[in-house]
Amino acid sequence: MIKVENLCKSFRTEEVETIALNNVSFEVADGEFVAIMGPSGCGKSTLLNILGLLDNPTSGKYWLAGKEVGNLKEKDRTDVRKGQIGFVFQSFNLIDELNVAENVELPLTYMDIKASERKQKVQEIMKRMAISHRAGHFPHQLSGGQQQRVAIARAVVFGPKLILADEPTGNLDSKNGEEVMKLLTELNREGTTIVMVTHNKHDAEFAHRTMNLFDGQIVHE
Amino acid sequence: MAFFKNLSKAFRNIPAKGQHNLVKILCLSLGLATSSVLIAEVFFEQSFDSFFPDFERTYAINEVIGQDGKINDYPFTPGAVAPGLKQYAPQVEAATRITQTFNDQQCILDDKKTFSANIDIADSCLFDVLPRKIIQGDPKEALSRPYYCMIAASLAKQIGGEVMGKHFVIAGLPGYDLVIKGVFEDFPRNSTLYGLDIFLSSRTYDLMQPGSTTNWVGNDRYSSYIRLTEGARPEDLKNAVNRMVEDHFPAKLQKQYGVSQSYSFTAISDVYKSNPQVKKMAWILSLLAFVLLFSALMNYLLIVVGNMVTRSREMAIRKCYGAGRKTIGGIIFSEALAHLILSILLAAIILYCCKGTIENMISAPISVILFNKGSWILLILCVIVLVLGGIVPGIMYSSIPVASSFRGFKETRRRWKLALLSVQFIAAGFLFSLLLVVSKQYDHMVNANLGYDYSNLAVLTVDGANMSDNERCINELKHLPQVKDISCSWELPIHGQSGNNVRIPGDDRDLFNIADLYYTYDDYFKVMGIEIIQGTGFTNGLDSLSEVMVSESFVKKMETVAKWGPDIVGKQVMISEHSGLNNKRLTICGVYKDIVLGSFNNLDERPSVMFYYSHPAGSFIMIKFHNMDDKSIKLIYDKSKALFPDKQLTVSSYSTLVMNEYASQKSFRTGVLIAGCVILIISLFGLVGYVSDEVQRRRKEIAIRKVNGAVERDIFSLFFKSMIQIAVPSLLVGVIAAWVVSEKWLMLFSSKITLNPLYFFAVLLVLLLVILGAVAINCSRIATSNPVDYLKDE
Repeated sequence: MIKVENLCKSFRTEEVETIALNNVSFEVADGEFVAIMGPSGCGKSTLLNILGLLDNPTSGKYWLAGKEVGNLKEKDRTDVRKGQIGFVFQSFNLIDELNVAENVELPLTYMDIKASERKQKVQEIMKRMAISHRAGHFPHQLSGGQQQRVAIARAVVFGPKLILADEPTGNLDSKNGEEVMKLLTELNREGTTIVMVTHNKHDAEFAHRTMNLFDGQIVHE
Repeated sequence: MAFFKNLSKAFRNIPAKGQHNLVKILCLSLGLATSSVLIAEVFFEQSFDSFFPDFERTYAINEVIGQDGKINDYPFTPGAVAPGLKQYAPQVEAATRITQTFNDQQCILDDKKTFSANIDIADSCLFDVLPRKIIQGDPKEALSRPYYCMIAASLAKQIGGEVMGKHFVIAGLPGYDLVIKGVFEDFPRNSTLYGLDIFLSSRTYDLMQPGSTTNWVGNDRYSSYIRLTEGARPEDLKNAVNRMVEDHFPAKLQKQYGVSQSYSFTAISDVYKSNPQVKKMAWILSLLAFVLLFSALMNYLLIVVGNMVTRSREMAIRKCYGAGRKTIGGIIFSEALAHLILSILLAAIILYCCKGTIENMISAPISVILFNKGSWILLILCVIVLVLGGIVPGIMYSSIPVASSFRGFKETRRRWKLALLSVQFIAAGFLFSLLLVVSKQYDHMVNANLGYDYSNLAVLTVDGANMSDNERCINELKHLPQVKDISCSWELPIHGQSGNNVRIPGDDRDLFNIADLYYTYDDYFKVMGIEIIQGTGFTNGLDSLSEVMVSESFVKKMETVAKWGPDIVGKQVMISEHSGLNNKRLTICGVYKDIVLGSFNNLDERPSVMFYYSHPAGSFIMIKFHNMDDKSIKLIYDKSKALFPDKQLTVSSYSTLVMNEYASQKSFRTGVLIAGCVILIISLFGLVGYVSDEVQRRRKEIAIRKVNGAVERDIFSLFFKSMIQIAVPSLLVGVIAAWVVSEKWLMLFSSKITLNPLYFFAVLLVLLLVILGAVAINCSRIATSNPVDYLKDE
């Protein structure tokens, strides 16, 4: 599913160059659940952004589902991302002006899917995530756990091959965090590849394997 | 002390990033500059003739004539009426009358120096009723003796030296040796008498036109004025008027002639402003001024409200360190004051730089209109700006809780901003729709079919030329290869015509009034391209002052009032001035197709008549070219100047004369265009500010959408949808308001365009595209950017 080779990413200002990733190489097979761990500032989120085609590497190669995608322009990145990659963020990133159903439906509205089909998919996934009873509510009316379930629902409603999760339990209590990890595990069992960035060793144990990142480099897997 | 400290900081922080202070100042200055000119112009126009001492008891006399079942008020009277009314009514303290005689007429002094002057006739009571400062001489003497006159101070300055006692002749009237016996202060710009250079004594006019100043019926060419005694009102004069009319034009005689005559009075300060055109324009200009200033002010508030997101933290920190409501309010007020001061300065600079254009549009010096009694309203406007721009935002800032500011205050006052933006869109829709209507009406008037062909037609006037001069000129010019035909006429159809009454043999009644085009010369109909539909017209060289050509509408009128049939060639009529006291009969020798008399501003719908004279007796030599251009006009001028080196002459294309009639509409069109552009600029600034605030507010949402598959098109459509929801209804309201105002404005014209909804739809569409274009440009950055950049902030 994923192959990266000698991936580098640096951020340059007028006076300072910061190397966020330094010759990172690894592979993630289809259906794998990989956790990436490391201290703050080690480049985890930067790596995840590149894997999610939200950013381009400074150098190196990145293949996604067999296609080289490392140096695409923003429009092409969006095209590749659409329908293939789902995102789950630490702070949920729901849109406050849309209700739960509309938030879940969001990726489908950009995919030329008929309204009736979209409605059906949304209802199915909301039922699965146990948030159907909150369909008409707005994000500020939900608890943290419910918001994250909505975010996961949005990430999977279109059946992506890959889910990228950036500290999905970071803003949740242990009970809700446990529930979220169970959901992710369930999705992985159904065949979805998951790459998750986490600080939490307990969460990392849900993954098939863990990669440790330190100062932009993989130190051990 | 704190106030001055705040003020100096406010000036220092003008260039601060993110507050759009320069935009605020620019929009406010544009609004102030344009609205101040409009408001000042309205006040200036409303102040006409109210500078006279005791103007409240000074009135103009109107002649009320009933004919053909219609009653009309005319602002002119026969010559005897004003002094007569003083005899009949003790309430009349003083009375005077004046009449226009010569316009822009060349005059020649004894030393052969020449000058041009506008000349009126006045009696010795002129300055009793319409006082001006007398600089030299005694008006009682100067305006009561033949050949005497008084001149304006500006003309005296132009002539130079000691003017008292100087002799001169009017080029067109060489037999009258006139002498300057007084100098008066010029009438100001806001006077209907502005521009009058010379008042000739009425006794002089008695020599030129015997009986004119003393007749009671007909020859109603005099502007007559009275001053009433303290406490008297026009209603008190009713009996005196009735007695006067009965004595000089008894009811029995009126009935016999089929007319009725009476008099009414208009306060002198109302004469100009009661003109329907002036009234409507005052209304429209006031509306424009209000729209402009309101938009500028709303835009200022829009930006201030938009800044609240970025400045709330700053205010919260101040509050943490002890700043109270007063302090916060003082800071905001000082900023508003600084912006206002700079806006006023910039507005003054804009007005100074555009002085020429503005003065052309409003036909008065800018200093005159800005520094009059209307100036106080400009002061009030500035106070309103200060209150709304300085105090209201201060209250709003003070109300934001400190905790909210530190947690990231989200400006939820979107509705405010949308409402303000909506007002600006309404104004833009209104102004551009009005502009389209004004432009179309102007084009319609300038290009309308006048019933005669004035293409390739030029008009030559030679001041003081007599018949033999005209003949020399015509003989010289007609042989030029560029000249196709040439003729001469007493009047031009585009100008206003005086009138005469029509009677038929065996009937004492005045049947109706006609527009008299007086005498034409050989080939006049051919040169003017006027179609003759009955008879053969005049015969060149065959003098018959007993023949008359009449218009098509004359025939229709005679069918109604005299029961004549459609064929009237050969029939006889009497026309007052031409038939004289002997009731000389005039034979109709032809009928011509109706032509437009006057302009569409002031259309003369009377039937018209023309006479013929075998010598070119008129003031206007009409030259039809094969192909007219600037060279051919110059050729005519040079040839004529060679013939008359000492005379003043002008050559104009007839098209130019037509366009001159609509100069005020052209100015209005320019004014609306400028106002529209100013509004659009202000609106676009406001829109840019709104969009950038929205982009800031929605940056996270946009990033999330992009992460979830939204492309640029989807982000644009997000902003377009919300903008269309505001812009379309607002533009629609503006366009509908423009429709209503346009209908009222078009009522000023006798020939007008038909309002087509498609015009307004086109304006709406174009403005919508401009708005969406501005939105697209301003959100293109975030639409094409990497969403990570915005998620990082989060």
